[in-house]
Amino acid sequence: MENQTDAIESKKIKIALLGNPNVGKTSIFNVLTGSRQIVANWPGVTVEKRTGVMKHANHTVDVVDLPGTYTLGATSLDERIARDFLIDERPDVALVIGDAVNLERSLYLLLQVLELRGDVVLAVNAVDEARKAGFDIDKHELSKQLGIPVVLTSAVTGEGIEELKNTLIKSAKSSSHVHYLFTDEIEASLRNLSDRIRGNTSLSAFDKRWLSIKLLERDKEAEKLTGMSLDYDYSIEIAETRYKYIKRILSTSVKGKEKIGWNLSEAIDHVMTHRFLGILIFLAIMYIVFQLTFTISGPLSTMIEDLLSGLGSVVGSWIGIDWLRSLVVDGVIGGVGAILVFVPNIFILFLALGVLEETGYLPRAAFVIDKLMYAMKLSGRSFISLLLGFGCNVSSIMSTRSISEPKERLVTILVSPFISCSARLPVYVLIAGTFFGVNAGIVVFFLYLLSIVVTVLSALLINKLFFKGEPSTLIMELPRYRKPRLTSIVLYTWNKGRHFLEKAGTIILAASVVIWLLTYFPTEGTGSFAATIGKALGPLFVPLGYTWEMITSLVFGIAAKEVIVSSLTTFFGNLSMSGTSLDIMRTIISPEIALSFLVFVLLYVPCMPTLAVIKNETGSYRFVFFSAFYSLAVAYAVALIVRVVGGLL
Amino acid sequence: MVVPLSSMCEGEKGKIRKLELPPLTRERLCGLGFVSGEEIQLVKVAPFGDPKVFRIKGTDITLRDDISMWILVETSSVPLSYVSEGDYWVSLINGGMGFRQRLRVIGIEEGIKISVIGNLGKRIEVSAKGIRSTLSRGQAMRIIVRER
Repeated sequence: MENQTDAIESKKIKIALLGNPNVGKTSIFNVLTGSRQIVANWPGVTVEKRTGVMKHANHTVDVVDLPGTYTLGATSLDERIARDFLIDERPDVALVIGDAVNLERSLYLLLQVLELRGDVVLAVNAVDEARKAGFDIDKHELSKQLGIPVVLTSAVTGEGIEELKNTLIKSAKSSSHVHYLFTDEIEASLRNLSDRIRGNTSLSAFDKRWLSIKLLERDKEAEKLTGMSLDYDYSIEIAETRYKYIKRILSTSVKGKEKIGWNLSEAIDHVMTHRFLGILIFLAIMYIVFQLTFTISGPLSTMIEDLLSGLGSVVGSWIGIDWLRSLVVDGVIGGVGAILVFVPNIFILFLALGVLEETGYLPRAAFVIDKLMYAMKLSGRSFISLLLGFGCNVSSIMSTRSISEPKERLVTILVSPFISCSARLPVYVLIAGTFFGVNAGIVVFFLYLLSIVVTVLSALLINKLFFKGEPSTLIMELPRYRKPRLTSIVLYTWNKGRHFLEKAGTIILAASVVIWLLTYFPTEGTGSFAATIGKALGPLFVPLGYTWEMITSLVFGIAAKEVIVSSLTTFFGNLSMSGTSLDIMRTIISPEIALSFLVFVLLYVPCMPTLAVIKNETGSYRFVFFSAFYSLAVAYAVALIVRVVGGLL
Repeated sequence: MVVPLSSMCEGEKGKIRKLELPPLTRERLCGLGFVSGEEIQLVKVAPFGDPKVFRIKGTDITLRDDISMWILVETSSVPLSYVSEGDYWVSLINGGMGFRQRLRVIGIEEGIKISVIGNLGKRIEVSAKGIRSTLSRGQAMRIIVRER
C-alpha cells in the first residue's frame, strides 16, 4: 500500500469525514459526492457506513463518512469505528467538519484528530447561519493558529465547496503533522511515555505522542495495545487544557457575540417540548407519520400486487409445465411481489423520518416521551418504531435506524415483532367473528392489549438477559431547528430504501421460493411438505388442542401472517356448505382453543420479511434465531395459559 | 451551594464542580464541554419530569436523571426546600399565575427578602414582609432563593 510510483496519473485519494453529530457532516458529504454513494453497515455492527466518490479536477477521491462523534475516545461504538478507521485505514486526509455557530466543541474533536495524525483539514460549516447570528470567523487567523488549512463552507448555499475540494486534493499531497502543547507537567510525562513506547517495536505504526496522551487519559485500548497501565489519571487536566487552548484560539479568530434576544429555535422549542402542547404535538405528528406510512402506501401496495398478479397470469399462460409455471408465478413473481409490496411503505416511511430528522424534531420527540419508554428500558426514539409496528413490523424494525444507542436499538428490534401488525388483523377478524359473534370486538381489543403487555415485559426481560444492570448512556443533543432540504431527504430516503431492497429483498425472495417448494411438493395443498410438517408437529400441539389444519396454516403463516386466513379457509371453508365462513371449525374446536389460537398467531415466530430485516439490521443470525425461538416459547406459554384458564371458565 | 445537576430548577444556572461518573461516561461528557468551571443551565424538564435539557457551551444536551444526578454543580441559587435557617432573596418562582398569586398573598415575590425560620419535616416555616407562613416541600421546591 505504501509503495508509491512516480507515475503521472493521480493516485487514488481517500478522505475520511469526521465531525460532531448535527453539524451538517452528511450535507457536506452529499455535496462532495453527489449521488455517487453507497450505504452499507460497518462490518459486524449495525452502524451505517456511507461511502462515496468525489470527482474533481481529474482526481477521483474516495470519501468515507465516519459516524458523528464528540471525541475520539473509544467510549461508544461510533467513536471506536471512527478512531479505528483513522488508525487502520490511514485515509490520506481527515476532513473535520465544524459548526460555525458552535466552534468550541467542534475544535475539541479537531484537537483529538490532530493528536492522532497529520493532514487534517477543517471545514467550518453553516457559516451563513453564523453570520446571521452575528459571528465573524477569520479563517486565516484560525488556519494560522491551528496550523492546518481551514475552509468556511455552507452546504446550504454552496459557499466554499469548490475551495474545499481544491484544499482536500492539495492536502492529500502534503504530509504535515501539527502539535499543540499541554502543561509542562503533562508534557514531561508525555516525553517519558513516548520514550518507553519507542522501545516497543510492535507499536512503531502508531503515533507515539498520541498513544502517550491516551495512556495519560487511561484509555482502555491504549493500555491494551501498549501493555502499560499508569496509576494516575490526567484525563480531566488534558480535557481542560484542550478547552483552554481552544478558548485562546477562538478569542483571536472569532469576532462578535451571539445576538441576545428572540431566538426562533428556542421559541419553537418552547411549544414543541411544552408540558401539554408538546405531548399533543408529539401525538399528532406520530399519527401523521403512521397514516402517511400505511394509509397512503396502502393503495400503492395494492396496485403493485394487482400488477404482479396480472403479470403472473400472463407469464403463467406462456408456460406449459405445471410445476415450472407454479415456480415462476407463485415462487418467483410471488416472491418479488412480497418484496415490492413493502416498497411504498418503506420509502414513504423514510421520507417522513427524513423530514423529522432533517428538521431536528426527532430528538425532541424522543425527549418528550423518553421517561415512559425508559421505564421499560427503551429509548424515547423507540416509541416511533413500536408505533409503526402496528402497521408493519418490517417498517418498525427499519425505523430503528434512528435510535442512536446500540443497546436500546437492539432491544427495540427484538421486541417489535410482538406489536400486532395489520397483517394479523384479518386473522383476528375471521376467527373472532366466527367464534365470538358480538363479542369479537372485545376479543380483538384483548389481543392488542396483550400485544403491548408482552412487548413491555419482553423489553424488560431481554434487557435483563443481555445487558445486566448496565446504566443508561443517553447523552443526546437537541440540534437547532433547520429547514429540511429536499435533496438531502431524497438521498436519505433513496439510500435507506435501496438498502432494504438489496439486502432484505434477497432474503425475502429466497425464503419465498423455499416456502413455495414446501407447499408445492410432493403434491400441492394437503399432500405438501408443509402439510406433512403440520401433521408431524401435531403431538407438540396436543396440549393446545390445535388440529393439523390449524398447525399447517401456522406454518404457512411464517411466510406472511395474512396467509393464515387463506389457508384456514382452504382447509375448513371447502368442507363447509356456506362458502368461506369457518362454521365447520366451530364444530371441531371450542372457543377457548380458538382464543388460544389467536394468541398464538399474535405472538409466534415473526413473518419471513421481519426475520429478514432482523438479520439485516442486527447483522447476525444469532438474533434471528433468538427472535424466532423466544417468540415461539412465549406464544406457546401464553396460548396454553389462555386455553387452560378459558377451559375453567 | 453544591447540588446535583438533576435537582436544579428550570431556568437555573450553575458552574460544574465535579463529575462523579464512570470514566467512559465522563469522557463522553468532556467532549461535550462538561468540565469543571463550565457554566451550565437547566433549560427544560421533559413533560414527564425526566430527562432534562441542559445548555452548555451554547448547545442543548439531554441527560436522564441517572446521569445528571452524578454531576455536581455550584449554584448561588437553590430551591427553598434545601436551605437551612437564615435570610435569603427570592430569585425565581417556578410556577404559573395561580401559584404566584397565592405566594403574593403571603408576601413572597421575586426579588424580596425571605427568612427561613424552621426547616424540619414536611413543612417549611418562612417569613416574608413580616408575614409568617408555612410552605409544603413541593411548593418550596419551586421557589428559588440565593444567599446574600
